[in-house]
Amino acid sequence: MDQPKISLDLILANIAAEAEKAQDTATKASEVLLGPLETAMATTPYDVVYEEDRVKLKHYRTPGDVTLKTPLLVTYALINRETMLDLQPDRSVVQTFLNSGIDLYMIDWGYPTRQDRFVTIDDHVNGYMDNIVDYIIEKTGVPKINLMGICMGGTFCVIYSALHPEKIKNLITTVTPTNFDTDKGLLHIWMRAIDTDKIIDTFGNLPGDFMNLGFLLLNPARLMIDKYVGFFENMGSKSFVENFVRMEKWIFDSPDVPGETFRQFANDFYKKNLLIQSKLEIGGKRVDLKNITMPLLNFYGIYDHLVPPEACNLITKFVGSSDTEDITLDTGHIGIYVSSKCQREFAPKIIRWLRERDGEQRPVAVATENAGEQPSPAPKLERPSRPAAGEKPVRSVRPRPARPTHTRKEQNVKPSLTQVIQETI
Amino acid sequence: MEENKSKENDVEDMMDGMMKASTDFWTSMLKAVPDGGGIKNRYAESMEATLKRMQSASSALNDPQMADAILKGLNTLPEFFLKISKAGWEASARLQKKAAEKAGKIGQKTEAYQFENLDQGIFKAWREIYQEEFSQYLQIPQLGLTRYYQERLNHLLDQSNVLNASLSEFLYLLYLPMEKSMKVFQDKIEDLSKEGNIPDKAKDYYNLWVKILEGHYMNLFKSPEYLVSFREMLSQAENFITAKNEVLQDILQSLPVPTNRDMDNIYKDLYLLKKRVKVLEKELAGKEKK
Repeated sequence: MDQPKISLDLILANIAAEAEKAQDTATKASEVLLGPLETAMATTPYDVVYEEDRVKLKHYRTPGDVTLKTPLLVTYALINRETMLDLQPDRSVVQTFLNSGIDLYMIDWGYPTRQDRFVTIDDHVNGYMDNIVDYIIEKTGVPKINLMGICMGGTFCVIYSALHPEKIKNLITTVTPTNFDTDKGLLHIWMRAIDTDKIIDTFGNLPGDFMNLGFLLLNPARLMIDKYVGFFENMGSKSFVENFVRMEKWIFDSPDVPGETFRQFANDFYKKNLLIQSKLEIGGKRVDLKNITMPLLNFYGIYDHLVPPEACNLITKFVGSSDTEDITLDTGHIGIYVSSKCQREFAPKIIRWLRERDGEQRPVAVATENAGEQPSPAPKLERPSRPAAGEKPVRSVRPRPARPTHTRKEQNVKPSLTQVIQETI
Repeated sequence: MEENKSKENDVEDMMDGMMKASTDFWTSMLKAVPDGGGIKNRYAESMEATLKRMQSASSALNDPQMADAILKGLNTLPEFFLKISKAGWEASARLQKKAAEKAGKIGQKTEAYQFENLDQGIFKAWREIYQEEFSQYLQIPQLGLTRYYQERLNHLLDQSNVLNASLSEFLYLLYLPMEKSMKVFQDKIEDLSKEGNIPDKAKDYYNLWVKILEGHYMNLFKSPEYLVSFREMLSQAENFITAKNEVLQDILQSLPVPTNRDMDNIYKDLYLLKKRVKVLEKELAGKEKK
């Protein structure tokens, strides 16, 4: 009979050492958890400059001078909140943009109530978004603005840019689903399997908690067990606890999704995949992707389990623009915005890309070595003053810098799933 | 035969005695009531009428044919209760039998990383038995003024039971990866110990287990069985919520608060109105600019 070669002494010694370590962690954890914790999110100052129903427009206060002529409007998804872009000061896409001199606006979709159950995608895109774009154009005096979308917000931006191309100078899509004919993500499989009409008829709006439960069930071993094991192991570290709590606050801060919007998103996008085929109709108008003739920068995460690369990487081939670029980052759905590694790649790349298309030739300091270090502000640029009533804004003709078209950049170093989750947390 | 007759006589005597005692008692009570100045009060009149009805009923009961009919009706009662309880017992026995049959099979059929063709017979059996034996009692047509309210309440109870069955099946599926992972984990540890590569840190064991668990969940979530169960559970949950809302709607109607249905109608009107106003506002602003 084979005798197992177990070093019992070693195992016992390790158990003793781990017990000691656990006791030490427990002592430190009680100090950390009972002491003051800094877990505030989205602390970058802003002004609410426009409001319509539950929707607000945030205008961030630039710490230095505005160096990009064209303001940037960020459109977040209706799922979770835009606070993710400003989770903490050293991991804030918002602050990186502001430090680089971008005039930044962001839509806060608010918390839909039962009153909003009849609000459609048309109302969001041709209503709220269009009114906000008009407001920014009128306020700043520019003929077009830059538009950046996140996840479902990116899908809204694609629709908006196809329906109102005359108002958009550059389009940036990040983890944006546009092709729904894929079985790569469980979400895609499930969305096709469930009766969404019945859900909406039952609930009115799609409850945020219901969605969160669905997201947790995508990977219960990691998201319901391993994540919290990681928390208990690191409870002695104040900064870890603070970051973890911030992330928890963000994850479970889930507004409901207006019922009719979700119904259309599930049926026309997930089940019929109309957008990528340019067959989608919004507000009685067909969304023709060939109308997207402005430059397009498309980001997605190679390990994104919610919006897999297959759902994101077709858009650049279907639009009418000849200036498109795909950037694949080796991270997941949220890691793109909050992981320290992506902080050094994601926002600086956007700044550089926008600056190149803003008529500016000066290079922006990007790709800083340390996490949280911000690119140095670019030289000041005078913002064109707001034109008087009836006066047309003057726009100078700028030479367009030479750049590669239809490019795709990928990073092939595959991290383990644990690394991805730890990175995300 | 003789015995039956003797029983009938006993009952008749008992009824006679009871009616007589009751009539005597209430008649004396009635006489004790003060006259009220020569005018009989309404209370006394009512009592008198009731006593007269009791007396006539008593004399009717004394009729042997009538007493026989009542006795026969009473005799069928135990049979009625027996039939109801028999249905319950039979269903329970069948469920136990099926559970015993399936219990042995469940463990045999859950192979590692395999979630196809799962044996979920126990849940199916319960659902079938419930629908065949119990659900029908909640679907008996209701009568009278409150029939719709009672029907909605019965429907809620029915949906609650159906949801419990679907939810149990879904939760069982969610639990399966835990069970399978533990088995695979034990096998792996055994293999590693034979190779002499057994981990010496608790964290390594945990990492190994959680990786196996994750793999099992991924396989489960992609299996057609999970999708069917997920869809079924979701559908039953929605049916239950709809049924619950219907009952709540009935309750809320009697309270001075608006119901969801009322509010939805208002929200719809408000939504259409706001949309129209926004269009008009834009048109007006465009004209003003021109």
